[in-house]
Amino acid sequence: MRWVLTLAIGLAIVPLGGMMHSSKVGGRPPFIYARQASEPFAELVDLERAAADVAGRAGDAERWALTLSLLLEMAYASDDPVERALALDAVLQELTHNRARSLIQAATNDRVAALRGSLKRFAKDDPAGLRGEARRLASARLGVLEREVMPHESRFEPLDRVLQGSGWKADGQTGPLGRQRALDRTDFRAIDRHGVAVVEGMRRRHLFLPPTEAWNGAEPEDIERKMQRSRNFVRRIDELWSHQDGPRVHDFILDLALQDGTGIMRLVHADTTLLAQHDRMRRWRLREALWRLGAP
Amino acid sequence: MVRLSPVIIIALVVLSGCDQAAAPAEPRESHDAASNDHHSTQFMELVAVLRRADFATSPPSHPELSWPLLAPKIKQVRSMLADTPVLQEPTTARRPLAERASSAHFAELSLARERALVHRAEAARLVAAGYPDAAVDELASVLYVAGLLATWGVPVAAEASAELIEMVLFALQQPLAAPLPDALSAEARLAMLAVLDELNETDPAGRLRSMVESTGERIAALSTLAQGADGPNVVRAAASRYRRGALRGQPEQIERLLDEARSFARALADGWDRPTRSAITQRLRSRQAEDATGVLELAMGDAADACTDDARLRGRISSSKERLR
Repeated sequence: MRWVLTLAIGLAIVPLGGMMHSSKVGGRPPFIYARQASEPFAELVDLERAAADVAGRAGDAERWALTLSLLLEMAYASDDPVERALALDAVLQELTHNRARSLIQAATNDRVAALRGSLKRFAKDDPAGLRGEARRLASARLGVLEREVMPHESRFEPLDRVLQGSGWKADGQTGPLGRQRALDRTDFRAIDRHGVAVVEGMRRRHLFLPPTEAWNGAEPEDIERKMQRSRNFVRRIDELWSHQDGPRVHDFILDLALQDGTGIMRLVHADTTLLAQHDRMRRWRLREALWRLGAP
Repeated sequence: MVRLSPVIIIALVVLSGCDQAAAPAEPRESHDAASNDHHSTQFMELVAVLRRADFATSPPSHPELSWPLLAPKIKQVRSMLADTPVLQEPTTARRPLAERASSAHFAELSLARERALVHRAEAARLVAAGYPDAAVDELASVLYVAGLLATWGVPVAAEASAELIEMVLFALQQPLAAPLPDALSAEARLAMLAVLDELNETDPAGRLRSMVESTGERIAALSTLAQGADGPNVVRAAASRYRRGALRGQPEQIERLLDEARSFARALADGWDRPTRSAITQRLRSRQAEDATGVLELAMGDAADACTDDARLRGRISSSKERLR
């Protein structure tokens, strides 16, 4: 049950690279973060996942592998990265489970080879296509800021309006705008307790400050420079996404966010951080699943 | 009985006619405004669709972005482009130490990005439809917009200009299976080459210009501030935005740092297109890190980054030219 919850939370925060709130064309406002796969698709994946679980528990290796192949086909056929991620995660969860070893041994060679072939069709460095989604989402956010917030002399109120339009309001209308959501999201769970403790007081305060409050006292040039930094970072997402040798993409974002008193980096790239973290986990699982299936 | 001359009668008739004609003018104006609003809303909606499209990938990231659905929208938004406002250079920022770009700059930059995006989309559509030569004109239009932004002398506009140029360079590498230069005819290839040649060789995106102009303004403003009665404290207050806990410098120290900033600006401008620039940028970065008063950071900003990024951009432009030759 725990992994189902983890998966649900992980995917609930996956956003859609989307539209400004006045033009919802096949998407949602870019600052909204509650993003899930379409309901029929999610139901279908749940059914298949349950079927794979039942088959796995019963030790029916053929049916188990067949169900996973079906899930992989569903993932591969979907154009939507979030849906792809949902179906792929269901398969990877099953394949990296302890019981998977014996089930793989029990399944016929053809079935295992088919499963391996299906799994190999997903790119190792970006299996669900969320890298582009993160890039587009950050660009869309920057576009909205540039179009609807920055042209105004007083930028606090337009930002407030944009975020409100995307539902950035504490539940039950209590507390300052965005604070509850920012805390709910635990944007920077990458920082461990010690890490947070050593962060300089002011920076730490800014890190957890909702963007609307952080912007309120910031000078225009500070906002401009941080926006530019966020925009420059969008260009680097592709190269940093699966960088194995150096700091990961979320480390970069964290580092930049810690130096950013205006909160723009967090506002624009919070979801990039989360998507990158989840995708990293997904890539590990993919690698392990392929290894278990006998791929070189 | 007052007798009216025929001239006066005619004048009265004409005037009354004018009044009658003027009466319904208001609804027409409001109708025009409404249609303009509708036009701009529709334009924005279509641009928002394009913004989601990644013209480099196949299959598209969303079913609504497949070519059969996307192409008519691109054609429509391209035809609407003629009615969208033309870019105008905004007035400069009023407070040189607090802002480099005014609010008007951001409004115009947003328009510029939209315009460039529409041209880029049209270029992609033309390539997909089998008319690669026609795409050259659209890419040239993107570079024209980039050239306009490069003349504004504002860092954020220069960065936007660089982004548009990179957009064109990236488009020239797409689609990956058969890059655009391979599909172009000899004439179109020469035309594209000529458009790229028109970019300023030393300063294609206007980063150098914006660095020189904004740094000059800031150094002058800082110098004036430092000479005031409470000079060092005011300078510290301004610098502490970029350097947490910036120290209060002595007037002589501030003056020396401003001289240093002037020297760095000159050296960067002189060595912008030479290999020595890396040494200068490295030195500037280390001096900015050493300077506890934050004056160098405030005066020079991210000039070192701009210099490095610009060298990379120039390299990409020259390799694209090589590819076209």
